[in-house]
Amino acid sequence: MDTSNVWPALAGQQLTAREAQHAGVPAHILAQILSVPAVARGKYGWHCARCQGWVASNVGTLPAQWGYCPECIVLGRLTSTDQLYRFPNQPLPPQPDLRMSWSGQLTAQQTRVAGELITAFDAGERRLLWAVTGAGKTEMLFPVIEHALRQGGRVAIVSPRVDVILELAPRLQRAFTTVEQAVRYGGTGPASSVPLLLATTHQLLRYYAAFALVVVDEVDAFPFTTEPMLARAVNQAACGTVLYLTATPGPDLLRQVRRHQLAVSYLPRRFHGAPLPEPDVVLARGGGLSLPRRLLQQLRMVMTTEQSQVMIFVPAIRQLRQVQATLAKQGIVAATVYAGDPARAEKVKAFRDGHPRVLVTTTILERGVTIYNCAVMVLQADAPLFGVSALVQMAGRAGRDREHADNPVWFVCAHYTLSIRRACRQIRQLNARGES
Amino acid sequence: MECCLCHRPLTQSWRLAALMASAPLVPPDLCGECRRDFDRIDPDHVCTGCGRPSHAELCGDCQYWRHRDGVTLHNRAVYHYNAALKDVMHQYKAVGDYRLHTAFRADLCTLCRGVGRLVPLTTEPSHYARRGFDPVVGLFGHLKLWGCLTKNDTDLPQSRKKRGARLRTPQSFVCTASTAELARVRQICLVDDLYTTGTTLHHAAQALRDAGYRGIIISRTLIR
Repeated sequence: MDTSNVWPALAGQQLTAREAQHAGVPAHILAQILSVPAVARGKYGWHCARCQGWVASNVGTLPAQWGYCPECIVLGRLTSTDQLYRFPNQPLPPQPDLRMSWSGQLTAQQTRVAGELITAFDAGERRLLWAVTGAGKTEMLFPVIEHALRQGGRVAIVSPRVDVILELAPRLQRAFTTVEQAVRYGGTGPASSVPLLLATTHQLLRYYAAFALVVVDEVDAFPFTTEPMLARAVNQAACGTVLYLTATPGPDLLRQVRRHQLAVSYLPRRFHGAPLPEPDVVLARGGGLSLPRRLLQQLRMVMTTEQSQVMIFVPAIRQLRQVQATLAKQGIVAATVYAGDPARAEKVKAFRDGHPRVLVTTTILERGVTIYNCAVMVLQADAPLFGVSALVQMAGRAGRDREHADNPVWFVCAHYTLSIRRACRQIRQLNARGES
Repeated sequence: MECCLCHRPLTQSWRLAALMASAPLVPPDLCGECRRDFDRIDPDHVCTGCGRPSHAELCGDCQYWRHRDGVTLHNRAVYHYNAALKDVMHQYKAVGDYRLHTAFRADLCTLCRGVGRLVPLTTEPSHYARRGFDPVVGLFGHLKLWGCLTKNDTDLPQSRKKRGARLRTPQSFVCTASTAELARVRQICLVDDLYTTGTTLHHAAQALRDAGYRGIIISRTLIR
């Protein structure tokens, strides 16, 4: 019997019996689906079929002598008593007359990169798109997404950060009004397979050879860099091109580029054509947490003469209040925000609207936030938590608007570290590449 | 080393006294950040019966038990049940993340020092078949346990019932030890993960008494 067209609503997904039942698959249909043992004994201990990870026998064995996978347990525990049902992926009918509803204009550089991406898709290769912060990455993706959808391929746009996905969703909704889309992240539950999926990278664990095009946005963000499982999830879910998007590729990606295992497209200029603001490294005792007078003077100056807002980054949550109190003593009203802040969304929105003018924040706002006229100050920039990419991203919050392309950036530190040096060099190199 | 709850790297600064002492250095399983979320019970201000934080001599719950059965248990617990621990217990028991079974080793070691023979309140067979492990034996597994109680299947787990229904739960424990074995033991300490209404522990104690045990019964739980 031909089983390639069974239950197309879940095409390309790999689910447990319970998840499939929850999605409404009757038992007699499920019996026809190809299934594999979810966790099986192998050469290096237990092997998980969902995340393709290995777990040592002494860690992954339960007292009942079952194996289980601790790595992908966030999606529900899989044990060696479970089966994983892999729904066959059938291609969608080609739609040659599909048009995106986005009518904006790409700059000459953006058009060049968009063309490179389409070529990469036709060749089925993996490619890194290294575009500076504020280059207009999302818009550059539209042509290749349209191209893939026309050929009947499924497209997944994923990111390790749910904020990024939630920000992208309405933009893609507007750009492709005729295409059925779904947004999936932790807690949204199973969804049927659609042509255009927006999800966190974890959700790709529920797919198997399903997407002709996978776009990983902000590929250097936590937790993608620390969890090898997510990179495997991307490879497993893709059956064609994988595009990695970032402004700050990590050492892993750069190594692959150096070894010619990964093709790369550069976009070293922001859409407004001005170079990235280069950071000033300021040495101050204690990393400037106590805000010495000369820093405050500079801060006041940009706030009055340039009318700009200021984002102050600190490495730890407990330092937020300290900096806020120091600022308050000087008569500067500041808000604070961190990942677990219950009023996080409202505070960020208020800051976007310009009240208050100063925001003290942890690294959660290092990416995905665009404030048009904003100076950036990184306190304790020498903290081990701030890697090269974090520093470049934070510096990238400044100068996002044509009018204010030269917003100042300060890295305040007690010691000059390798990360600071590399971050400054990376920004200089990108600017130089943009000149040529 | 990583924290078995938040999976962030663990850094431990040892005290000089601990480094110089002859006792082995046991690295912690939880990081300071996670431990701070837990509400440790102050042993000086607890109900003498169930061990919950209380300023009264005997709390309302224990007075209820004394009124109903004429007995109170002598229970002590490490932590007060709060939202953070609720999440941990959900991850451990409902999701089935067996990695967490080591999280409270050090606490339980101290709690169960010199209290008599430790008898775990085992899980019922249907739950074991679903989880693949016994949560109580997992938590207390590094101590020497005496598994002389078995539990029969019940219609609903305690955690899915309201307070009234919990208190009305019928006896489901059976003691498998012989009277002769029981007669040799002077003090039994029942160990469990959670003391909520006390029904389970009272049933277990009753099962031991029904089997002919005449010694002292106390209990220790991780959470009250």
